[in-house]
Amino acid sequence: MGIAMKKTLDIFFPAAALAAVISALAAVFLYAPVERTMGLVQKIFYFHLGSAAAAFLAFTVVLVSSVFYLVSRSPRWDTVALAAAETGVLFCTLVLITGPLWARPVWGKWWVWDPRLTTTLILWFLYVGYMVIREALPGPRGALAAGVFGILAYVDVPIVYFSIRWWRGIHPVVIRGGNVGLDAGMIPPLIISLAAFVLLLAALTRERYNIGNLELRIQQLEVSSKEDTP
Amino acid sequence: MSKLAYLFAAYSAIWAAVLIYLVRLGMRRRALEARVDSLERAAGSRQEGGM
Repeated sequence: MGIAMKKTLDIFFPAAALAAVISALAAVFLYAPVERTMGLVQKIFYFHLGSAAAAFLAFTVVLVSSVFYLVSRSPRWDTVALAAAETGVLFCTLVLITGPLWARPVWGKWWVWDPRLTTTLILWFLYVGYMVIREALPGPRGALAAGVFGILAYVDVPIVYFSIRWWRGIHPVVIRGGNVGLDAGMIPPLIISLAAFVLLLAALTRERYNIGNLELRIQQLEVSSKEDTP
Repeated sequence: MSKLAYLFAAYSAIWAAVLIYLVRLGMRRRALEARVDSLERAAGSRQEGGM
């Protein structure tokens, strides 16, 4: 990829994310109807689901890049995996913060050990574990261990998604059998929110990837500096 | 706490977390760019000295 293209993408993703986030906020607060039973607090749902979609997508990127890293041993794929893991943890954290803030006024409790909530918490711990591996084991050993772990940890993503179908719980089911269980007026704000969070994920992951590339450049310069020193 | 307060808390938490992460990324990027510059300058002066 040329330098001009890289610079264009560096501007495109943050600008598109900002525009999409503003549109999503407008759609949620100016267009979406107020839910009859839950009232205003239901509006947390749009960005809660957006954060969950972004976290799932980020962890899928970790899986794919980890496979490519283990096959090619190219540090670039490891850098992509690390960037996606970090942003995935950020969005998974947002899911775990906004969920209880919705649950408290609706369920009367901040947290219940519901299958969806429990498997999501496990998901968060798994990818925090991934980050810990990266901190504890620098260099190719850490990249290799994280690559294997990044593939194994992904097993929990489909478990989180299907947990509300496999086990009885109290977490709402929005999409069942291809049908969206929402008022028609809530669907456009939901789609815009999902798009906004995907673009936000892309912008943040790209910025984190650029930082990873700078770290790789420093390692290369330090190695050549040691080789040049008599 | 009213329902509006929960809504406000949720949206504030989201944007605060994203903003803090962005600021941290920006600071880290600036520090790394400065380190790359200094290493590249040092490599350049070593090459000039070796000529």
